[in-house]
Amino acid sequence: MRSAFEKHLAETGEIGYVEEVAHAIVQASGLPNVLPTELVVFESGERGQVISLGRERVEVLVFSRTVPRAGTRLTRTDQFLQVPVGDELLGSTIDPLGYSLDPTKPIKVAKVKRPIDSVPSGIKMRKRIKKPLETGVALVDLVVPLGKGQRELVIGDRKTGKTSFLLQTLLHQARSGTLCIYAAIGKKKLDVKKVEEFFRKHKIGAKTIIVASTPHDPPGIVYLTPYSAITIAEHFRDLGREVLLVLDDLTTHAKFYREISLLGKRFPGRNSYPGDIFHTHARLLERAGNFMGISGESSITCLPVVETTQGDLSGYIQTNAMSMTDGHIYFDSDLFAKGRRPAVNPFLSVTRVGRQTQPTVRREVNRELVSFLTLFEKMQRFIHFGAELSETIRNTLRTGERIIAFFDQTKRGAAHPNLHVFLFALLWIGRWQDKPIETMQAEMEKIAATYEKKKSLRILIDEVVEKAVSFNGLLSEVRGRADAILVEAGFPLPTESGQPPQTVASGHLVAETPKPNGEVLRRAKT
Amino acid sequence: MSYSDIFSKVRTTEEADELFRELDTVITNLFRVPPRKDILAGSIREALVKEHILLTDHQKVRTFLNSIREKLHALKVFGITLAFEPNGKTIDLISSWVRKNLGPLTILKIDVDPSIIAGSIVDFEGKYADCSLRKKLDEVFEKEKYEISI
Repeated sequence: MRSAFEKHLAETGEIGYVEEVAHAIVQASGLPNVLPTELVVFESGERGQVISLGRERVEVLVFSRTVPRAGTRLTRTDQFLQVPVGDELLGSTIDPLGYSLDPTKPIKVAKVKRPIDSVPSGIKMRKRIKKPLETGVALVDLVVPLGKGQRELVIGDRKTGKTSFLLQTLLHQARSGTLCIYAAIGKKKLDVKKVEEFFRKHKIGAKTIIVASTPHDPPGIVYLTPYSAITIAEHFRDLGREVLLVLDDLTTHAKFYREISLLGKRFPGRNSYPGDIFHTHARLLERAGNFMGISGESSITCLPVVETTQGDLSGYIQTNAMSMTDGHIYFDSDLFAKGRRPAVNPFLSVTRVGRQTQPTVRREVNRELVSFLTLFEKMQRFIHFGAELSETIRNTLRTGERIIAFFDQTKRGAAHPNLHVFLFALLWIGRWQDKPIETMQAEMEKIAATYEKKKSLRILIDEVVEKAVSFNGLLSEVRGRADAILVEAGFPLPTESGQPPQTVASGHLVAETPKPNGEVLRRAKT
Repeated sequence: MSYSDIFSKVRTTEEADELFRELDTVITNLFRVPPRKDILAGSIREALVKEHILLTDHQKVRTFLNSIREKLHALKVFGITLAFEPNGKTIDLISSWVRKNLGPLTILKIDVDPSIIAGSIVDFEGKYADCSLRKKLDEVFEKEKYEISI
C-alpha cells in the first residue's frame, strides 16, 4: 500500500526538499506551484501547511510533534486544511484536526468537512441582534446583559473565576438548547478533563463539543484551535442552530502565534508580537455574529477570554481584543480577594449590544441597579471617614450589601432571568431588609430550587415578570402577590397582622411603610 | 571571469562537495605563514593561471575562490534515481544531455535504488517524474489485479 507521500507525489508530480528546520517551521526548496495555506506531506509522514512563499523557499508550519530532518522530501497535496464537522462530534473532545483526544473513544468518521479558512459573511447576511443570551448569572444578566450573536470579551487576571462563569453560561445555554463549543487553547490536560467532567456531571455532553490543544502540542496545532472551533460553529449555524463559542484563551493563542512568527523570522513588533497579530484575532471574531442563512436566522455568540496581569487592561493583546469585541466583562482580582462572587466589576464592564435585546422591565431593572450600585460605591467610600451615618445611608448600605449577596450564586446556581428579576424585586421592596444576609440567601436558594422543580411556581413567577410593563408596575405586582407566590414556594403563610416588609428608601420607589415588628418576623420563621 | 573550465569537471553533487572542501581548505590556508602552495588543487591552479592571477596575490586569489564558491551554490541540481551504480562513461553521457537541455550550470544528484528495477526517477526544480519500470508494473497490477487474483 502506498504511503500518503507517494500517492500525492504521483498525483501532483512536484517535489521539495527540506533545507532548514527551526522547531515547528520548515524551510523547503522546490514545489514550484504550491499555494499559500496548501497542505504538504513529508516523506517521513508529517503534515504541514504552507504559511509563506519566498523566491527560493517555501515556509511550512508542521503539525506533528516530530519535525522532519533536513533533506527530507515533501510534496504538495493540492488540498487545503479542512475540519470534519457534523453531529458525530457532539459530546466528544477533539483536537483541531478533528481527531479524538481520547483514544478509547474514537469518533465516527464525519461525512462533511469544511475549510478552516473561510471568508466571513458580508453585511447583507448580518442581522441586528435581537435575542438575549441568558448566562444564568444574575450580575451579568441584569447589569451587563448579552445578546445572541454578540462577541463579548471575558477579561481578568488568572484565578478570578472566569472559567467558572463560562462553564455556568455553557451549562445554562446547553440546557436551553443552544449548541456549545468550548475551545481550550494551550490548556493543561487536567483542565480540559475538568471541563469534560463538568459537562458529563450535568448531562449536557450531547450538546457540547470540546476542541482542545495542550501546551505540549506543536505550535501549529495550538494556533489552529480557535479557527477549528469557529469552523465547527459555522456548520451548525448554517443548519439553523444557535451556537455559543468560548475561546479560552486568546492570550495563549497570541503567544504561540508569536513563537511561530519569530521562528519564521518575521520582524517583531510591539512586545515581539508580529505586525499581523490584530488581524489574526480579528478575522476569527469577525466570523461570529447574527446571520440570516438558508435555514433562517441563527447566530454564533462568541465569548473570547483574555488574561490580564495585575489588572492591567492596557496591554497589547488586551486592548486589541477589547476593540474587536462588542463589550467586555471584567473580572476584578480585588473584588475576588474581597470574596465577591462572581468578581465582575460592573463599572468597568461594558456591553454594547446586550441592552437592545432586553424586555422593557429588565432594561429598567438594569438602569435602577447600575445607578444604585454607583450610589452604593460612593457611599462605601464615604463611610471610611467615620462620620455619623443617617438612616437613609444606613438603609442604602444595608440594601447594597444584600444586592451583593444576591449576586453571589455560589450555592444557588444558574437560574432563569425571570427568577432573578423576581428575587431582585422582592429584595427591592424590602423583604429581607431586616433579616440577616445568610437568611436571605437561604430563602433565595429555596425559591430557586423550587422554581426549578415546581412548574406552578415557575408559571406564577414568569407571569408576574413577563406581564409587567414597567419596573414600578412589577414592584406593585410583586408586593401584591409575593405572599401567594412564596406560599407556593413552600414558605409559611404570613401572619394575620400581615404587615408588609419595609421598603428601601432609595428615593426611586413608592412611599415607605412601617417596619415589621419582631413578633411577626419570629412567627413567620416558624 | 570564466568558470567553464572548473565547472566542466563538476558533474555530480559529490564532485561539487569535493570542490567545496578543496576551496575551503585553500581559503583557510591562504594566509598561513609560511603559505602552503601544495594545497592548491590542479583545477583551481589552472583556473588561476588562466585568469592571470598570481598565487602570491592573496587578496585576488581569495576573491576569485569566493566567487567560485558562490557559483557552486547557485548550481542547479538534477536529481536522478537509477537501478544501478553508473560508471564514469554513463555519468558523462547523462551529464552532457542534462547540460545540453537544461543549461550548462546543472549538475547531477545520483541515487541508486535497485527496487525501481529499470528506468529512472527524475526531479528538477521541484518537478518530479517517475519513469521507472516499477511504477509501470504497479499500474499494470492495479488494473489487472482482479484477473490476477483469480
